[in-house]
Amino acid sequence: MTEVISTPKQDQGEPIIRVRGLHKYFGALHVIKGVDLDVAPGEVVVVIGPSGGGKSTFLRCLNFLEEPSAGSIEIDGVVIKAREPAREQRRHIREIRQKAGMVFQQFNLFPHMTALGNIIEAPVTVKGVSKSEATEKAEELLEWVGLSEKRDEYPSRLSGGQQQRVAIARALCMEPKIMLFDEPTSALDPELIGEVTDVMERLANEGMTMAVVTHELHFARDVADRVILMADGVWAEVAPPQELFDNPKEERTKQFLAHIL
Amino acid sequence: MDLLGNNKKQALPPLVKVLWVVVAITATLSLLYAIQYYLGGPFRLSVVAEIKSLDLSPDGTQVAAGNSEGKVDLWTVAAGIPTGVGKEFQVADEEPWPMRTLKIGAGEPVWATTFTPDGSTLVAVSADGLVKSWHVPDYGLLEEYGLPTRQLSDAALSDDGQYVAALDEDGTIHVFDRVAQQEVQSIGPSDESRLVVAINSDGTLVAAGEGIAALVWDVETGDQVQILQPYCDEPNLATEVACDEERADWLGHDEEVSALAFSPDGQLIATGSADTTVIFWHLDTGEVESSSVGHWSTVTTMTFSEDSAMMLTGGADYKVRDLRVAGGRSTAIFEGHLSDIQGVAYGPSDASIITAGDDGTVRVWETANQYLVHLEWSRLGLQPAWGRLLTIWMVVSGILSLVALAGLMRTRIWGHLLVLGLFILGPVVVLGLPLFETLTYPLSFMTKLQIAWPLILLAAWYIGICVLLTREPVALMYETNRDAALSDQIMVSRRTHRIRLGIYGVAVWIGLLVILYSVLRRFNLDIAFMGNWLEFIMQGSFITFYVSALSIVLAVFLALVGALGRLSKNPIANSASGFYISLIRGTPLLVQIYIWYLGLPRLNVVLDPRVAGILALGVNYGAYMTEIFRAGIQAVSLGQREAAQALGMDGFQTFRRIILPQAFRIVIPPIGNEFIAMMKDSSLVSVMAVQELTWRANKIGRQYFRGMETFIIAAAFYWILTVLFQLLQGRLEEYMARGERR
Repeated sequence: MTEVISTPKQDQGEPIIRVRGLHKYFGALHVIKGVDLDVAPGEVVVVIGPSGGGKSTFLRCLNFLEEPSAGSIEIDGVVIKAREPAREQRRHIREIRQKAGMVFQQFNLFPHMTALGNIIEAPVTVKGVSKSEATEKAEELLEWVGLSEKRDEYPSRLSGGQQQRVAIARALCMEPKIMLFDEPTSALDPELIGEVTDVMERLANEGMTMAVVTHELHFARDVADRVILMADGVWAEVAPPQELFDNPKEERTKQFLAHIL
Repeated sequence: MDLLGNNKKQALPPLVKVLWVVVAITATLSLLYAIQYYLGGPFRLSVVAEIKSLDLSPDGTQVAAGNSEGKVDLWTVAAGIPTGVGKEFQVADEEPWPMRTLKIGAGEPVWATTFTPDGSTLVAVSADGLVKSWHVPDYGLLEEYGLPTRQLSDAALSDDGQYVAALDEDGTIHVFDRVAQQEVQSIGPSDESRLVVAINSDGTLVAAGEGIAALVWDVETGDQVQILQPYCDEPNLATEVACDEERADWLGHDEEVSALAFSPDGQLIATGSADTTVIFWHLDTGEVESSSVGHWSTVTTMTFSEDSAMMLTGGADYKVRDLRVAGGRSTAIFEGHLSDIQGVAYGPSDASIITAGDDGTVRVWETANQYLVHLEWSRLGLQPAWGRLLTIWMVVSGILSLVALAGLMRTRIWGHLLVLGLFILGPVVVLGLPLFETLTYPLSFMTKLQIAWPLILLAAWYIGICVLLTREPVALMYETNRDAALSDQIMVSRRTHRIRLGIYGVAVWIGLLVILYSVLRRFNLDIAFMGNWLEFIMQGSFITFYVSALSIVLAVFLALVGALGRLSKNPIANSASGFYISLIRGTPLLVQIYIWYLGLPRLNVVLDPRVAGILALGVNYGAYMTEIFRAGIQAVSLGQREAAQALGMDGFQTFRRIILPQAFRIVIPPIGNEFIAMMKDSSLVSVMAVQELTWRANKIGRQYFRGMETFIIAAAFYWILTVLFQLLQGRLEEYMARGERR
């Protein structure tokens, strides 16, 4: 599996994600109010928090699906600052997007392509990988997420959980250094959540650096190295899961946990 | 268990038993009718007797018409032939003429009927080789002469009734002297097709069609005296191509000669042909005096006026023309017969003519205004074609009823559906058409009823069966097998229901088509004219289709560019696109077409009109379709774009690989809709002389004052094109939606 999902062989001390002074405004609305974050290679960071707290926006800022209003983001050595000259920024965005795979709440599989087509699309068109090579890799990934027999199905014939697993395989096929998960299980029926979190857990175990926004506290507790509670655009509390769940320090954290547990 | 049928005995609802009995009766009676019909039995739908020959006695008081059943119908015109009263014919106003029937032969057509010049004798020849003569005032049989030749494909009588020219089935021409009862000449068989024979007034010359030519022989010697064949006006040019190149006229017929007549003055011979033309030839030189066009189908019969200056011709286009021999121009056209004309005669004065034909009627027309002034039926009835159709239907109905009965006996659903389809579609087509046609006959309502009652009865019987079939106990019985599992019952029931709806749907469509057809018939459409020009107009449908298809390709391209412009944040692209849409949508298509057509030549750009038409249509529809594409692109969810971007795809890759395919699927139905609209709007490019359907219909319609006929043809082809395209569109949508199937 290690040849499919490349594990960063960097010095464990050097962070692979480095966020500094990140602000995001939607018009007058100040959504992210200056946050910093370092993520080490292989680390799994889970962001939880109340709705409207800016979790998803933060995650989408990491690969510039939302453009930050201020601050800088460094992923695997590529630095982008907000308000860079446009041409330079575009180049940097392309670079980080190839390093950061993303999985969406609504899966966003391409409905006009089969599962296999979805997976090989980006490697072939973006990286110029040959079709046969991409197919070989895609089949490996499909097997890894347990969907070998669905390779020629169109997304409309897959369950939500299966679609999300294809989406994960699709992101992995680009050989990203980090993976961003934006509420990957929120659109799923409860009994399908497990099959997706299982895949994510295996991915974490293989040493993938992951940033996950989720409401699945079990996942956070079992898999995360660090849990961040984000509320009102700032980190309310950052701690290892046991500490945060069992012994929260901040009032805001206690409130949130009391609310959902 | 077998889903659709089992052989277990079940208690049958009484209504089902009634149905069985009724279908069994239908099968039996249908087959019996068909069998006795083909064996020549007595029971047959009343159809008219086709009239094959016609003559008027010299004093104008007797009209004789030989029909296809070996009889000569004879009307005595006590008050004289009406000469016209300047009004439309009304049945109720007219007293029928006293009629009697003379029998000749065993029931073969009477090819020739003539009164002798002194009016004392009537002579007729039948196809089974019998020549009979009757004494006129009392119609006592004078003489009977059985020709040695028994199968005649045509025959002619000299004016005095003495000589009989008979055309054998192998093409041999025999001339007999009726009075001496002997053969005077025989002219050997021919490989060419001989359809028609004629003999001159005193019986000295005989002529016959010989393929596209006609030959004239001397009866006494049997020598060929003249050949009437195509030739070039320019004497040295022997082929049609060479003749055309020199821009000379190629004179003669293109197709078989189908009618012949000698002029009374002995100068001319007239030939009519399947190529619809009539040609007058000089008998002594074989050169063309004049030719005449105007029929739209085969010329079937002709007769000269007594002074040889005028001629009456009748055709398979149901029309009679009165034309001047000099120049060949028609002076009058008489329309109203329901079938081929087989006999024409000038009335006792210039004021009237008499015609007869396969529709079984003898009609008197006023020449001045071409009004019908009198009408006699040899026998009241439907057109013979309907009688034959009904018999064929009886065979089909009988056999299918038996099959259906077998299905019914074993409670199989197909038996049920077969009965339903049979008894809904049958009456609509087979009974509907003749019934509607009867309505157009110039007869009183009661007489129409008298003719059509068997059809009405039959239709009522079939409708009764259909009503029986749709009663609930019967329907339930055949919808499902009561012993099957409930889910199977529901499945079968649903399928049966669907098929039944389909049958009803088809029946309604066909029924409406039949009604449409009869309504169009009321317009007195010139069917033969339509048949003649059908192919020419039809060729326009290919042009219509490819002009529309290429235009839609151009429009799709422009619409795509336009939509991208509309969606672009670039102010130049956005405004340019807005300007294009505003300009094109703000001006009428027809005006745009004129501007393309008139404007391009001013720029010294001379395009093929088809190319200019495609440009005009494509640019116009591109503007309208821009909005469709814009909506289609916007309808692709933002998530798709984000997913593609997150995978590192750039704007172009995202658009090309992700957005566009999905947008296309969304816009296919509206594009199909636009294409259908465009196929019809493409009629506007006819003003550019693009030779598509409308242009052709317009050209021919104007040339012959038959716009109604030609535009109906064009409309039919537009409709057919649209229906074909709709089928195609369904397939395309299915393919594009392959990702959506569940």
